[in-house]
Amino acid sequence: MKKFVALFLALALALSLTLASAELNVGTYDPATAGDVQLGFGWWGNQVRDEVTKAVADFFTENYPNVTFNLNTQVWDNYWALMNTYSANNDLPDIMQQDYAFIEQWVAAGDLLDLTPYVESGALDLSGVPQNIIDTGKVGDGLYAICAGVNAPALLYNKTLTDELGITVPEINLTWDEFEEISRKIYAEKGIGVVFGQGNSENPLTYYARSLGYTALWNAEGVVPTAEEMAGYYADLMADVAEGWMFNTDQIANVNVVDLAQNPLVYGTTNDVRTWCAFAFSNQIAAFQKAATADGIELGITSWAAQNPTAANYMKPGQFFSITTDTKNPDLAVAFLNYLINDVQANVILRAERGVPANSEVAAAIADEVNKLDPTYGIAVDYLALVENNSSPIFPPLPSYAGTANNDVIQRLSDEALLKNPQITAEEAGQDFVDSVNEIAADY
Amino acid sequence: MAKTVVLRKKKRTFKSWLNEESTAGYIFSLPFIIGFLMFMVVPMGLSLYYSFCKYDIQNAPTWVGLDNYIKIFTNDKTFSKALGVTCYFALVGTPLKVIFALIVALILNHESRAVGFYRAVYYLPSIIGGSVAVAILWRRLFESNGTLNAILSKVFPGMAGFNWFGEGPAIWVLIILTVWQFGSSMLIFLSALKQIPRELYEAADVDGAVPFQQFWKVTLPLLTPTIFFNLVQQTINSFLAFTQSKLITNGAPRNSTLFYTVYQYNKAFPNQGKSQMGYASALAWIMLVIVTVVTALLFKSRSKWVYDG
Repeated sequence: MKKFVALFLALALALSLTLASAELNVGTYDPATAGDVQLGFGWWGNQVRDEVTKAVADFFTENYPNVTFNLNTQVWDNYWALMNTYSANNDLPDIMQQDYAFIEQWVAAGDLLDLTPYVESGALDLSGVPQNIIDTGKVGDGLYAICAGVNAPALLYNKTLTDELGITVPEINLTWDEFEEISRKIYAEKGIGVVFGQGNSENPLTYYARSLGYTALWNAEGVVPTAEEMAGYYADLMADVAEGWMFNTDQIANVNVVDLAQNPLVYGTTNDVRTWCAFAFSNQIAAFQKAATADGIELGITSWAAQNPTAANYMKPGQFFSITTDTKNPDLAVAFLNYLINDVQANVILRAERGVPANSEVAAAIADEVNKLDPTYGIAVDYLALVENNSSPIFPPLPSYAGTANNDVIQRLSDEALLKNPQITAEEAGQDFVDSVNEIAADY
Repeated sequence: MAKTVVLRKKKRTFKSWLNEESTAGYIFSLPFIIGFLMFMVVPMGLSLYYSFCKYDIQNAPTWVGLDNYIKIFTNDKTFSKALGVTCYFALVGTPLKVIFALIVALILNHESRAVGFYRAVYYLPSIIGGSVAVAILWRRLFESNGTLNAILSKVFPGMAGFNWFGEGPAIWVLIILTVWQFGSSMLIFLSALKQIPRELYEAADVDGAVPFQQFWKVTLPLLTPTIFFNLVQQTINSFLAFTQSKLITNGAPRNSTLFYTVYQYNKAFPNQGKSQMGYASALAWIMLVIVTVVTALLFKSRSKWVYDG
């Protein structure tokens, strides 16, 4: 019966979509005039994102049978390496997902198309997108990326577990001390600790630097905070590992945090590789919850722990859509992009999995429908509303050397700091971080 | 006489050219020659050039001379770490693998109907090789509550929950995998064992040699050329091993299982940031020199222990 209802609902939705689909919001260019073409579309993601993105492309093809898609999905770790090789062959997909962190690097390499002319001609309608969100896709005078959805750093946690232990996690503004206290309690009662899974990412360091009152972790010249200040970041990790509840480098060596379905928040056979929380982003609750449901886990959401959470937290363009300079059909690609950003039906299909739609009219129009499809959407929206009033403006886009520093410096030092018996002091780690990053910055 | 002259002056048509034996030879070897040029010579030439460049594959390479090499040798701790891990893997794993292959080959060197079956079974791991499926299997086997610990903890209770992926044991997870894939060496040993003349054993029997003496004085010396061949081949393979490290541990923890080739790959195709293809090319050429030197040393040692009849 349940299956039947689900099927009926799906059919009803599909029908209502087809009936309503006389006009897709594609801007001024008519894709029907493009002839038989194939558009490439590449993104990193997870299972939910893969499903909804394929559906949104299929829906476009239904309306414009002359346009088909070559879809290419990867997990984050493989995505950039693959796109780099495509870039070398001038073979990038027409539309690629981009990230706030690396956009400068890609613009500098000349791979992204400046969308300003299309906005001026009306082919790409950004009237529904707030100016501050549009600006996040600008590099210099050019507009190279359109925000696919707004999100914010979010600590996703095992609410089933905290409820069972009678622990109340604050809705927002979780301080580092509170975080440590909760973690200690859970570890003492259940042996479930914390897998600090952001080893090769600048995100937690940026959060820490912002908590100290800086806007950003680094700029074109190098690290902004002093070595002594950065030592504090490593000192926290070392102290927590010493207490046992933050799992050390050896314990988490076999843990995969990149593939959400394998993340220790929702997957793992023993408690010593399970974590009660994951440092993630608000939109990821959809995919995480999907994986967690199988284990009967309900997830909660709060902000990342920091000494000064309101200074540290920020709203972020979750991902961007960019059109690459390798495209042979820029007008068609822009029309498809316009559809992704402005079309209500498209955004119902996309289920706001990439974050709350940047077009605020669209966001309002889809809310009810998406909530029915995915209850986590409401949780993410409520959380973002809280963040809006408890955060500071986002940092500028990362300097182009950031990715290299992540791999070569941040990964190495977080491995060192999370050792059971650290071989360097927090002061040395802080100094090493500043020196190594500055060296990369100077040499880039 | 005049007739032969006429024959010699016969026009060399395209058809006759096609019928020449050397033409057929060239045509048949053409696929290899093209492949060799396209996939070996040209890429190697390019990589040699890139190794003197700063090259991120998105932008044109810029010449930096010996910078990459200088940086590798003076200011790259990961290089020495990865090289150390690879040497350890090659120098410990290879002899183990060869010895293991030899032992199994000796056991299977009997006339029995079941032997054929066992040979196939033991060869199987080598065929499935470094696949993704094996990587996942291996990770599950060695998990803290995995199959291996479940078995070991029955014998050694202390092994329950042992973390195989910690620094130290992790490299052994990879060594055990490579030893497990001993099949091809085993087959080579088996065929070599078959070629040892029976008379030698009969003579040893007459002289009163016990089986161990027969093995030590007859089998082993006659097998040394095969051992040498296996050793060279497997050593080179070990230095170039990639999939185990990439798929099972990805270098974790703390680069203690980071094979040289994986390090090189990470530089060429990093998961974030720009490619450092020039740097990676320099790393590749250093590896080529190292493998050449190791192989040369092995060949140099040949006269000391290999029995060439």
